[in-house]
Amino acid sequence: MSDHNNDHFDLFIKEVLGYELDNSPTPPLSKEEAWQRIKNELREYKLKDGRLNCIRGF
Amino acid sequence: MKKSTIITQKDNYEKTLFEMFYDRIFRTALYIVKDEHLAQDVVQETFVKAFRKINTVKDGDKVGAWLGSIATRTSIDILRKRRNYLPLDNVNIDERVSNGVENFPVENIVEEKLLKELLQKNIRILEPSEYREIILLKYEYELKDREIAEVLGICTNTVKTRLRRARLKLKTILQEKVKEEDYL
Repeated sequence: MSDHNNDHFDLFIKEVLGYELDNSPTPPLSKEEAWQRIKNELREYKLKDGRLNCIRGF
Repeated sequence: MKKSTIITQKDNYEKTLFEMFYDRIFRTALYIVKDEHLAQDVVQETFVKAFRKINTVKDGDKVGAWLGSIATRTSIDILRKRRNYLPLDNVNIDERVSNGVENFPVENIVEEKLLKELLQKNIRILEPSEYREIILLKYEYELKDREIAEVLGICTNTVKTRLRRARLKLKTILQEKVKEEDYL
Protein backbone atom coordinates (compact mmCIF):
# COMPACT_ATOMS: atom_id res chain seq x y z
CA MET A 1 0.00 0.00 0.00
CA SER A 2 1.37 3.43 -0.81
CA ASP A 3 2.33 5.88 1.95
CA HIS A 4 -0.37 8.20 0.69
CA ASN A 5 -3.08 5.57 1.14
CA ASN A 6 -1.70 4.71 4.58
CA ASP A 7 -1.72 8.38 5.66
CA HIS A 8 -5.26 8.78 4.39
CA PHE A 9 -6.47 5.70 6.21
CA ASP A 10 -4.62 6.78 9.38
CA LEU A 11 -6.49 10.08 9.33
CA PHE A 12 -9.78 8.22 9.00
CA ILE A 13 -8.95 6.00 11.96
CA LYS A 14 -7.90 8.96 14.10
CA GLU A 15 -11.02 10.92 13.31
CA VAL A 16 -13.42 8.02 13.79
CA LEU A 17 -11.76 6.84 17.00
CA GLY A 18 -11.91 10.35 18.45
CA TYR A 19 -15.60 10.56 17.63
CA GLU A 20 -16.22 7.11 19.09
CA LEU A 21 -14.53 8.01 22.39
CA ASP A 22 -16.17 11.43 22.63
CA ASN A 23 -19.57 9.80 22.28
CA SER A 24 -19.05 6.96 24.74
CA PRO A 25 -21.36 6.61 27.75
CA THR A 26 -20.39 8.38 30.96
CA PRO A 27 -18.98 6.39 33.91
CA PRO A 28 -21.51 4.71 36.26
CA LEU A 29 -19.89 6.34 39.31
CA SER A 30 -19.76 10.06 39.94
CA LYS A 31 -16.32 11.64 40.15
CA GLU A 32 -16.63 12.00 43.91
CA GLU A 33 -17.63 8.34 44.44
CA ALA A 34 -14.84 7.12 42.19
CA TRP A 35 -12.32 9.41 43.91
CA GLN A 36 -13.32 8.13 47.37
CA ARG A 37 -12.75 4.52 46.26
CA ILE A 38 -9.33 5.39 44.87
CA LYS A 39 -8.37 7.26 48.02
CA ASN A 40 -9.45 4.29 50.17
CA GLU A 41 -7.40 1.87 48.11
CA LEU A 42 -4.36 4.14 48.20
CA ARG A 43 -4.73 4.43 51.98
CA GLU A 44 -4.65 0.62 52.27
CA TYR A 45 -1.49 0.48 50.17
CA LYS A 46 0.15 3.17 52.29
CA LEU A 47 -0.62 1.16 55.45
CA LYS A 48 0.78 -2.01 53.89
CA ASP A 49 3.90 -0.21 52.65
CA GLY A 50 4.36 1.33 56.11
CA ARG A 51 4.17 -2.08 57.78
CA LEU A 52 6.61 -3.57 55.28
CA ASN A 53 9.06 -0.73 55.86
CA CYS A 54 8.88 -1.37 59.62
CA ILE A 55 9.61 -5.07 59.08
CA ARG A 56 12.56 -4.23 56.82
CA GLY A 57 13.89 -1.95 59.54
CA PHE A 58 13.54 1.36 57.79
CA MET B 1 7.81 22.82 54.76
CA LYS B 2 5.76 20.73 57.17
CA LYS B 3 5.17 17.06 56.24
CA SER B 4 1.39 17.57 56.50
CA THR B 5 1.60 20.46 54.00
CA ILE B 6 3.51 18.28 51.53
CA ILE B 7 0.94 15.50 51.90
CA THR B 8 -1.93 17.92 51.32
CA GLN B 9 -0.24 19.31 48.20
CA LYS B 10 0.32 15.78 46.88
CA ASP B 11 -3.35 14.89 47.55
CA ASN B 12 -4.51 18.01 45.75
CA TYR B 13 -2.26 17.24 42.79
CA GLU B 14 -3.60 13.69 42.61
CA LYS B 15 -7.19 14.86 42.83
CA THR B 16 -6.64 17.47 40.11
CA LEU B 17 -5.12 14.85 37.82
CA PHE B 18 -7.99 12.50 38.56
CA GLU B 19 -10.61 15.14 37.77
CA MET B 20 -8.85 16.11 34.56
CA PHE B 21 -8.59 12.59 33.21
CA TYR B 22 -11.41 10.62 34.82
CA ASP B 23 -13.76 10.67 31.81
CA ARG B 24 -11.02 10.12 29.26
CA ILE B 25 -9.58 7.14 31.13
CA PHE B 26 -13.04 5.65 31.54
CA ARG B 27 -13.71 5.94 27.80
CA THR B 28 -10.31 4.47 27.00
CA ALA B 29 -11.04 1.49 29.23
CA LEU B 30 -14.57 1.10 27.91
CA TYR B 31 -13.30 1.00 24.34
CA ILE B 32 -11.23 -2.07 25.22
CA VAL B 33 -13.26 -3.95 27.84
CA LYS B 34 -16.73 -3.19 26.42
CA ASP B 35 -18.40 -3.24 29.83
CA GLU B 36 -19.15 -0.13 31.87
CA HIS B 37 -18.65 -1.73 35.28
CA LEU B 38 -15.44 -3.40 34.21
CA ALA B 39 -14.26 -0.09 32.78
CA GLN B 40 -15.00 1.53 36.15
CA ASP B 41 -12.76 -1.07 37.82
CA VAL B 42 -10.04 -0.30 35.26
CA VAL B 43 -10.29 3.41 36.09
CA GLN B 44 -9.77 2.72 39.78
CA GLU B 45 -6.84 0.37 39.17
CA THR B 46 -5.28 2.79 36.70
CA PHE B 47 -5.26 5.75 39.07
CA VAL B 48 -4.08 3.67 42.01
CA LYS B 49 -1.18 2.31 39.94
CA ALA B 50 -0.42 5.77 38.60
CA PHE B 51 -0.39 7.51 41.98
CA ARG B 52 1.85 4.82 43.45
CA LYS B 53 4.52 5.62 40.85
CA ILE B 54 3.73 9.22 40.02
CA ASN B 55 7.33 10.22 40.81
CA THR B 56 8.52 8.22 37.77
CA VAL B 57 6.83 10.63 35.34
CA LYS B 58 9.56 12.57 33.57
CA ASP B 59 7.55 14.68 31.16
CA GLY B 60 4.54 16.43 32.72
CA ASP B 61 3.11 17.21 29.28
CA LYS B 62 2.72 13.52 28.62
CA VAL B 63 0.94 12.59 31.81
CA GLY B 64 -2.33 12.04 29.87
CA ALA B 65 -0.65 9.61 27.49
CA TRP B 66 1.04 7.93 30.43
CA LEU B 67 -2.30 7.43 32.21
CA GLY B 68 -3.85 6.24 28.95
CA SER B 69 -1.13 3.67 28.49
CA ILE B 70 -1.65 2.36 32.04
CA ALA B 71 -5.40 2.17 31.38
CA THR B 72 -5.00 0.23 28.13
CA ARG B 73 -2.55 -2.20 29.73
CA THR B 74 -4.80 -2.65 32.76
CA SER B 75 -7.80 -3.23 30.50
CA ILE B 76 -6.02 -6.00 28.65
CA ASP B 77 -4.84 -7.56 31.92
CA ILE B 78 -8.37 -7.51 33.34
CA LEU B 79 -9.76 -9.09 30.17
CA ARG B 80 -7.14 -11.82 30.41
CA LYS B 81 -8.06 -12.54 34.02
CA ARG B 82 -11.79 -12.58 33.35
CA ARG B 83 -11.80 -14.76 30.27
CA ASN B 84 -9.87 -17.79 29.24
CA TYR B 85 -7.96 -15.32 27.20
CA LEU B 86 -5.77 -16.45 24.36
CA PRO B 87 -2.65 -14.31 24.09
CA LEU B 88 -2.32 -12.45 20.83
CA ASP B 89 0.73 -14.40 19.72
CA ASN B 90 -1.34 -17.58 19.75
CA VAL B 91 -4.19 -16.15 17.77
CA ASN B 92 -4.03 -17.00 14.12
CA ILE B 93 -6.46 -14.32 13.18
CA ASP B 94 -3.97 -12.69 10.86
CA GLU B 95 -3.72 -15.85 8.81
CA ARG B 96 -7.32 -15.31 7.85
CA VAL B 97 -6.52 -11.92 6.46
CA SER B 98 -6.01 -11.96 2.75
CA ASN B 99 -2.48 -11.07 1.69
CA GLY B 100 -3.65 -9.10 -1.26
CA VAL B 101 -5.87 -6.70 0.63
CA GLU B 102 -3.14 -4.16 1.26
CA ASN B 103 -3.18 -3.38 -2.41
CA PHE B 104 -6.91 -2.81 -2.36
CA PRO B 105 -7.51 0.92 -2.09
CA VAL B 106 -10.82 0.89 -0.22
CA GLU B 107 -10.76 4.63 0.24
CA ASN B 108 -10.62 5.10 -3.50
CA ILE B 109 -13.74 3.03 -4.09
CA VAL B 110 -16.25 4.31 -1.58
CA GLU B 111 -16.97 7.87 -0.68
CA GLU B 112 -15.29 9.23 2.42
CA LYS B 113 -18.54 9.62 4.28
CA LEU B 114 -19.54 6.03 3.70
CA LEU B 115 -16.11 4.80 4.71
CA LYS B 116 -16.26 6.79 7.95
CA GLU B 117 -19.66 5.37 8.82
CA LEU B 118 -18.48 1.84 8.21
CA LEU B 119 -15.26 2.43 10.07
CA GLN B 120 -17.19 3.88 12.99
CA LYS B 121 -19.34 0.77 13.23
CA ASN B 122 -16.36 -1.55 13.11
CA ILE B 123 -13.59 0.19 15.02
CA ARG B 124 -15.45 -0.44 18.28
CA ILE B 125 -15.61 -4.19 17.67
CA LEU B 126 -12.09 -4.67 16.38
CA GLU B 127 -10.71 -7.94 17.70
CA PRO B 128 -8.50 -9.11 19.33
CA SER B 129 -8.46 -6.43 22.02
CA GLU B 130 -4.68 -6.00 21.58
CA TYR B 131 -5.49 -4.38 18.26
CA ARG B 132 -7.81 -1.89 19.96
CA GLU B 133 -5.10 -1.26 22.55
CA ILE B 134 -2.47 -0.42 19.95
CA ILE B 135 -4.87 1.66 17.85
CA LEU B 136 -5.72 3.70 20.95
CA LEU B 137 -2.12 4.33 21.93
CA LYS B 138 -1.20 5.30 18.38
CA TYR B 139 -4.15 7.40 17.28
CA GLU B 140 -5.75 8.71 20.46
CA TYR B 141 -2.69 9.16 22.63
CA GLU B 142 -0.37 9.80 19.70
CA LEU B 143 2.51 7.80 21.11
CA LYS B 144 5.45 6.97 18.88
CA ASP B 145 6.09 3.32 18.03
CA ARG B 146 9.10 3.33 20.37
CA GLU B 147 7.00 4.74 23.22
CA ILE B 148 4.25 2.17 22.65
CA ALA B 149 6.91 -0.54 22.75
CA GLU B 150 8.17 0.76 26.11
CA VAL B 151 4.68 0.93 27.58
CA LEU B 152 3.69 -2.55 26.45
CA GLY B 153 7.08 -4.14 27.11
CA ILE B 154 7.43 -5.38 23.55
CA CYS B 155 9.91 -4.55 20.81
CA THR B 156 9.32 -1.76 18.30
CA ASN B 157 9.09 -4.20 15.41
CA THR B 158 6.24 -6.01 17.16
CA VAL B 159 4.46 -2.68 17.56
CA LYS B 160 4.86 -1.99 13.84
CA THR B 161 3.61 -5.48 12.98
CA ARG B 162 0.55 -5.20 15.24
CA LEU B 163 -0.29 -1.77 13.87
CA ARG B 164 0.02 -3.00 10.32
CA ARG B 165 -2.19 -5.99 11.10
CA ALA B 166 -4.76 -3.87 12.94
CA ARG B 167 -4.99 -1.49 9.97
CA LEU B 168 -5.18 -4.42 7.60
CA LYS B 169 -7.90 -6.03 9.67
CA LEU B 170 -9.96 -2.85 9.62
CA LYS B 171 -9.49 -2.55 5.90
CA THR B 172 -10.47 -6.15 5.37
CA ILE B 173 -13.62 -5.73 7.46
CA LEU B 174 -14.53 -2.60 5.53
CA GLN B 175 -13.87 -4.29 2.25
CA GLU B 176 -16.14 -7.19 3.20
CA LYS B 177 -18.90 -4.91 4.46
CA VAL B 178 -18.76 -2.84 1.32
CA LYS B 179 -19.18 -5.97 -0.75
CA GLU B 180 -21.93 -7.37 1.51
CA GLU B 181 -23.94 -4.21 1.36
CA ASP B 182 -23.49 -4.06 -2.37
CA TYR B 183 -21.88 -0.66 -2.41
CA LEU B 184 -19.58 -1.67 -5.24
